[in-house]
Order: sequence, then structure tokens, then C-alpha cells
Amino acid sequence: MKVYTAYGSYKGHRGFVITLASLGLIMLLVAFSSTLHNNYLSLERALLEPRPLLYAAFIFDSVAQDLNTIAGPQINITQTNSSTRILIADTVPNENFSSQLASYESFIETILANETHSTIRANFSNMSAGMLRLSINGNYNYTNNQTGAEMLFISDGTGGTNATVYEIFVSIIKTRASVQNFVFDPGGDLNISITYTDLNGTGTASGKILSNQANNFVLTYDDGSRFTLLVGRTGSSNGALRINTQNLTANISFTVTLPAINETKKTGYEYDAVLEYVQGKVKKSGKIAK
Amino acid sequence: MAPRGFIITFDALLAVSLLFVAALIMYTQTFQPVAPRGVYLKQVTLDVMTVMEKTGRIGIAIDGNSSAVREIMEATGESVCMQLTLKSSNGTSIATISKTGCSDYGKELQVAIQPVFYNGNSYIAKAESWYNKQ
Repeated sequence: MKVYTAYGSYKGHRGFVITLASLGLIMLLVAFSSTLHNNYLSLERALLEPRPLLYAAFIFDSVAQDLNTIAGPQINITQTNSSTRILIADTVPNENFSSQLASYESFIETILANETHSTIRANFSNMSAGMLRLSINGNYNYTNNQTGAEMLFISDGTGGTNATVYEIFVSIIKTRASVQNFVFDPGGDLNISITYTDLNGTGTASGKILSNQANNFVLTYDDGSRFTLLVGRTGSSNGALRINTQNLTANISFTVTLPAINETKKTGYEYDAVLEYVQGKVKKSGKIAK
Repeated sequence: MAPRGFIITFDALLAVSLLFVAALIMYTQTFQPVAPRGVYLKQVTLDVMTVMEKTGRIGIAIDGNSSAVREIMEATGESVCMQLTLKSSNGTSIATISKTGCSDYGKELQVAIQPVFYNGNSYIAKAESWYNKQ
């Protein structure tokens, strides 16, 4: 059967084929264009979607910074292939930061929430009685209880910190009456050095102790006030550090050398305080950490 | 003859319109990378705020000395403009510090707000960033 086209003969077939080929090419071009555009949109989404969450994380980090300003402590964590070093500087007894904390909690829930057009809920109740409690690297707990005038660094859970070195610096503005030094053991597994400065001057002591025993160091002052340091076993934790003061304020800085954290843990610390940030579909809640 | 001429003309028009469609499709493929610019600006804004707070420069600005804050702003490069506004907890404006050479807002305005606790008081720090028009 002969097919006649607009061009009047079999030659017209060629025009028909060219038109079809053109249409095919255009459709191909449209398909490519659509794919490219969709890819671009998905790239844009991938870049834009995390942005509100990025801002939520920024708010968390900022609140953590402020919490550290209010409650302390000064803390620095360094990690090497073989060890972790944690430096903490604080006072015993701790300052009573309860009213500042309550004021700050109200500030972020109202003023900050209004400014950022978000809903913010904070719960600092576990820190409200001058109790500072930190979880460090997910392995250790640090507490500084203003009411009990006690600082404590222990492992998280049973067992020990596996600390190998403690370097402790103490400063007290009082006149010393006596020193009860550590009973060092050359066969010990924990190196300890303490430098104490008061109105009498500076004294030092260093040596080895057993981390599974309670090793005490006591400074007594002429008004009867006391500084008591325990390194070793306290409660069910070996290699811990505990400081108690009676009727005096001690500025303390200690560095502890610990085993390197394993790869499932993160270097950092978190307060026993909870924050929830909601803006539109973005919601982030959890403990305030640095 | 007349119908054939009409069909040929129609075919030619169709071919031209197809070419036009093809050209249009190719033209629309030139996307403007708007999102990455905005994301970059947001990241710069957040980073600047973080540096300012962690180095205590916002506290210095609250005390009335803006040079430490301005020093960080100037380090962001010529294309980025920035302005920092500090407000007390009752909403009173304490200071507005702008980067040198930046006046009107440009495209891609990004805003970051953070709380600042300084000397026993709470403040709001608001950074606005945009790309310089020049």
C-alpha cells in the first residue's frame, strides 16, 4: 500500500521520519532537563533541610556555654592515641548558682523563645540546689555539691576510673596548722602529686598509691577548718577523687590522666540539665552538652 | 497544490517551534546556585557568633568596647556584611555594631540569635549577615 505524505510521494516518508526524530529528541531533552532539575532540587533540599537543625544545635551550644559561665567548672579535655587528660578547675564549696540558674531558665524560655519565634523548654531542676553534676566522655561523673561542700570525680557505674596520674593544685587563704600526708606505696598503681598553697606558703607531695584503697590527705587550719582529699577507692569506684572542706573555701585544679576513650564514646561533657527547642517541624531535645 | 503548501508551511512552523522549545529548555538549565550561597552565609554567621561568644568579645561589647567584635567581623571577607545588635533581657538595645563599609541590606539576609550570660545578667545577641552589593 502506497503512503502519500504532504510531499506527495514515498520521498515524503523522509520528512515524516525527520519530524518524528525531532519530536523524539525534544522528548529526550525534556527528560534530561527534568532529571537535571530534580537532581538540582534534591541537592538544594539536602543543603537547606538541615539548616534549621543546624541552628537548633547552635542554640544548644550557646546555652551550654552560658551554663558553663553560670555553674562552671573550667574544664579542658585532651585526647591522644594512648590517653585522655581531663583538667578541671573549681571551688569547694561551689558557689550557689541557683538563683542565677532560675533567672537564666526563665530568660531562655520567654525572651529567647520570643526572639527566635520558637518554643523552648528548659529543666535545670537537678542543678537547682547548687548541685553541679557532669557526665564526662560518657565514662566519668563529676559532681560539686555546694550544700555538702564536696567535689567528686568517679567512674560512671561500678569499677574504677583506671586513672594513672592525678596532679592536684589547691589554694586556700588561711593559716595552716597541720598536714596529714598520703601514705605512699612504691608498689602503687596510681601516681599522685599535690601542690598546696596557703598563707604559710607552698607545699608539695608526690608518690604512688594503690587505686583500690582509700588514701587520705588532710590540711587543718588554725581556726579548725579542714581540707580533706581522698584519692583511690570511694564507694564502689576505684581511682576516684573526693574533696571535702569544712568551714573554708578551696580553689582546686586537678588533672587526671585516664585511658584513651574507646571509639564508641565522644569526647565532651554534659550537664544534668535538659533543653527542648521546637521551631516549626524542627524539634531537638536532650541534655545540654559541650 | 494548496493543501500541500499549507502542510509544508505547518511542518516548517512545527520544526521552528520545536527548535524554540529546545532552545528554551537549554536556556533554563542555567541554574543560579542560590541555596549554597545562603547556606554558606548562615554558616559564617553562626561561626562568627560562636567565636565572638567563646572568646568573650560579646561581653566586652556589652561593656561598651566594640573593637573586639568588629575585629572578628572584618575577618569575614569583603563580600560578607554583618551587623551585631545586643539587647538586654528587658528588650533595651545596648549596642549595634556594623562591619565597616556595609550600609543597606543586600540579598540573602541571614539572622542568628543567641543568648549570652555575662556578669550575672542575660542578654540577646542578634547577628544579621548579607552579601555586599558591591
